[in-house]
Amino acid sequence: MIQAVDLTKTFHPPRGKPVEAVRAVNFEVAPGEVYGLLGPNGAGKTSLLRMLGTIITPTSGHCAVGGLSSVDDPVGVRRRVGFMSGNTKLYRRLSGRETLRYFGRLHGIADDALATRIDELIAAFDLTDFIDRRCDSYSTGQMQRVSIARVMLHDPPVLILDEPTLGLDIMSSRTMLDFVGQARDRGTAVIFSTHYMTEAELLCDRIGFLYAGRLLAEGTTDQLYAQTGATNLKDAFLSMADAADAEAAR
Amino acid sequence: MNLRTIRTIAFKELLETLRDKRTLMAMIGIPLILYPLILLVGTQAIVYRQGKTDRETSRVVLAQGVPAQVVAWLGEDEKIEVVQGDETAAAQGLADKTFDVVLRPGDTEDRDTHATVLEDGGTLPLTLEFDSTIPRSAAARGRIALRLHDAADALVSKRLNDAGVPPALIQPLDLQRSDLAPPKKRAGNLLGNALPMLMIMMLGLGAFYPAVDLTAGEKERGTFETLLATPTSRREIVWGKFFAVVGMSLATGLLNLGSMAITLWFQLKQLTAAGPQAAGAVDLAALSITPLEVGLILLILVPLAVLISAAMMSLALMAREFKEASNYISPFFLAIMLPALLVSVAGVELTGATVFAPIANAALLFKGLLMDTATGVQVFGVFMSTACYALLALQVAVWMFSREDVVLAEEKGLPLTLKRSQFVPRDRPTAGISIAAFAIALLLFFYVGTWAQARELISGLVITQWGILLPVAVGLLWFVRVDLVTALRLRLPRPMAFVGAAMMALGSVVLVQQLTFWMSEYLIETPEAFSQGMTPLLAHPGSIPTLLWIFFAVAVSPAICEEVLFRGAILSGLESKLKPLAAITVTAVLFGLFHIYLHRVPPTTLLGLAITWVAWRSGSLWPAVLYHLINNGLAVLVVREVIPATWFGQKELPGGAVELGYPLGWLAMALVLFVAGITAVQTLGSRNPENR
Repeated sequence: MIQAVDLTKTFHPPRGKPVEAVRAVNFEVAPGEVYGLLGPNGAGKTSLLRMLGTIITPTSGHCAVGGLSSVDDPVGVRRRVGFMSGNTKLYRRLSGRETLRYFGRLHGIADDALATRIDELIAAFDLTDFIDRRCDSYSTGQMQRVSIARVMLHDPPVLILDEPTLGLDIMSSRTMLDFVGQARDRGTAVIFSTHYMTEAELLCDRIGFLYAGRLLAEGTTDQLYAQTGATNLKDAFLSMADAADAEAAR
Repeated sequence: MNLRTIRTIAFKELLETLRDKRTLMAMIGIPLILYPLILLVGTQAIVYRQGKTDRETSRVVLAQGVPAQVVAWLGEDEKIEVVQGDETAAAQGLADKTFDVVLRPGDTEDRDTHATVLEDGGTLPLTLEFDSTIPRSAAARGRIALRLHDAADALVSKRLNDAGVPPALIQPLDLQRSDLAPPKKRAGNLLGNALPMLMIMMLGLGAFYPAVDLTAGEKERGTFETLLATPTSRREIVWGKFFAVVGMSLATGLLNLGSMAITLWFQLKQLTAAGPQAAGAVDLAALSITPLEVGLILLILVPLAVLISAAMMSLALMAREFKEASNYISPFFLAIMLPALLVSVAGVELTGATVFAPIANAALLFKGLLMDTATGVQVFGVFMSTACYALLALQVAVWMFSREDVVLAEEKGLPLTLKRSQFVPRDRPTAGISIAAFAIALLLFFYVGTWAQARELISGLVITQWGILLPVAVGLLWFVRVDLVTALRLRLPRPMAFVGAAMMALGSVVLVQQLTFWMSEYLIETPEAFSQGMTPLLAHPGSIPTLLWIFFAVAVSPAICEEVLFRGAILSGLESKLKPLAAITVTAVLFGLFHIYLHRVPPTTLLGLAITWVAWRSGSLWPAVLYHLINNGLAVLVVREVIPATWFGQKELPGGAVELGYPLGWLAMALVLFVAGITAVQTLGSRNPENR
């Protein structure tokens, strides 16, 4: 469902040397699979997911969602993707319902169908109490739930979630993780980045270690433990990162 | 582009903007409440002040030695009252308002003569002391000076009469002044100095906040990525946001204009009621504007609002946050006020290059419309150039939005770098690049080309073609890494394309020429300025080097350079966006508009249609070059009298008059030739099998 082939992104800052944020990354995510992207800050997770979501274009290599190339048909890709990150906030001066209506229309959903869909989502994510208030009055948890509803408007076969639990309290985190689990059960392909190891262990079918722009390793937790001889994800990741650093120093 | 998407974005942006108190205050609060309040309170104050001063008496203290005659004169005005006061401390008395003015005899050596100097036919020196910053004192000064002048005038008449001298002796001239400017023009001139600047300020003010809020504000609030993740194109996002900004800009401009007009009208009524001198010498009430003029003002306001809004949006987008964006836009805001200020500078008129000076041209035209002096050519020129700048600004905005380093800027400061390496190599330019090529070429043509041609026509034409059009077209395509051979259609066509193009050219020369005759007879006359500008083409008759030089400048150069720009860069870009018919039509219209003079636009557009079709159908630029060369070349040969003018439909009648027009037979033959040429290109000269 999601495919990345030699995906590379180089940034040219106005001052200083070019930055290779993502270097020749290859992986695939199947329908009904949750793929966890693990890595420290600055590893290139956000750039990688932004390329998958066609927010930015790859410098070289290519990626595809549902068979559509993100370079040739970015709009088609965005139709199939639900994209959420720390930077996909809500419009404060709109109510939750207006927000959903706005994004529903941008997804090309007809007005009648859209009204029905919004009612379904309000029921599904328990938004009734606050949906007609402005978003600037929401708590973090309420904002999170409306954001999830926003992502689900067009019932996407692919979810791209960039650190969706960052800064959330325990209850809101649980809502998020439950949501990801349910999406997987419905056959959605989910890729989600985090630097919380326990979250990844709990939820992901397969995990990729991203470090300094490279995909160091990928596999199930057991495979990753076997490769490194570690007994938890944190140790497995650290030993691979150390090995990569040692190789780069040579 | 999807219209529903653009509308959805525009409506949402408007809704959100209108929900912001700051915007509401700036847009609706100021025009609807503040103006009337300030102006009306101001008027009331003036009327009140005027009435109060009129009712108050002027208290004058007379110093020692003012003759009784003067006292008697002052006594004739019942609003002048002689009071007692300490004239040695005049300044203090004025400040304390115990009296208003002090009148004292001037310093002459013999004060005793003061009493009799008036009877003796001499001059009495007098000093009037007052304080100009105290309204009552200033009013007293005016009243007493007037009274004494009247009295002095009467005394002069009496003295002349006593001496038996006719009054005409001291009045050799009786000059009457008569202002022939109609009241509307005078009022328009007065109002025209201030109103355009206000108008441009209001458009800018209306665009300012939304332009920042919808770009940098959206970045700051972290909602931009949410929008970018939706299945909308960047162009749709720009247009949606842009419509919202333009809407706010225009709404603010019009609300302000309307509110000002109503307030002004109300104020004038009050002032007129308070007395004619309060309303001023110019009768502003004479200022009536016809619906046509309102329409024309709106016609200019729209592209002006587009230009200002698009430029502000592009600037604001470079910032990462609201405050930074305000810092970028503020200087721009001041910069657009400067040309508007130019209007009030005496002597700046809407002719020549000023027609193309952005902002200033609109301000000048606005004033011209108020004064009833604007011409159709001015309206057309200002609209065209403003629309051109607006399109360019909009194109820049789209380009900015498609740059991820700008849209997702996480580093502070201007992220703008323009490197050739950031462009992806491609076969054909995008439509945006084409429009940019046209706009840049047009602007350089306005500023550099027209200047060079005004200096010396022939070399100016060569400079325009080889120094502007060709480098702009080729340079821009090269810079954005477009394959020049494909985009400019430099491959050779099938041979019959040349034959067909030549036949079409020979036919269309006659047909287009005939159209020009009809147009000049029934529609638009050739402007004198244009005909006069062309006279250098007739210089040095019979000289072969001159003929060759002119042929190179007028026929060869445009055939190559204009073709590379229009049938190369512009057509190939438009083709990537539009259906062939639409791309050809738009190219032809742009080609026509490029010929600036209104009378030349229709024939050159038609000609452009034919040439563009040839280039498209044959898949090659070269038949189009040949077509253009034949068309222009024949004209040069006729003007230089190498071939007889009768071939160009000009028959010299006995007596020197010239009859214009072709015989019907010629026209029929030309039509047949033209159609045959089309058929040849269509069938045997086509290189695009996929276009069949």
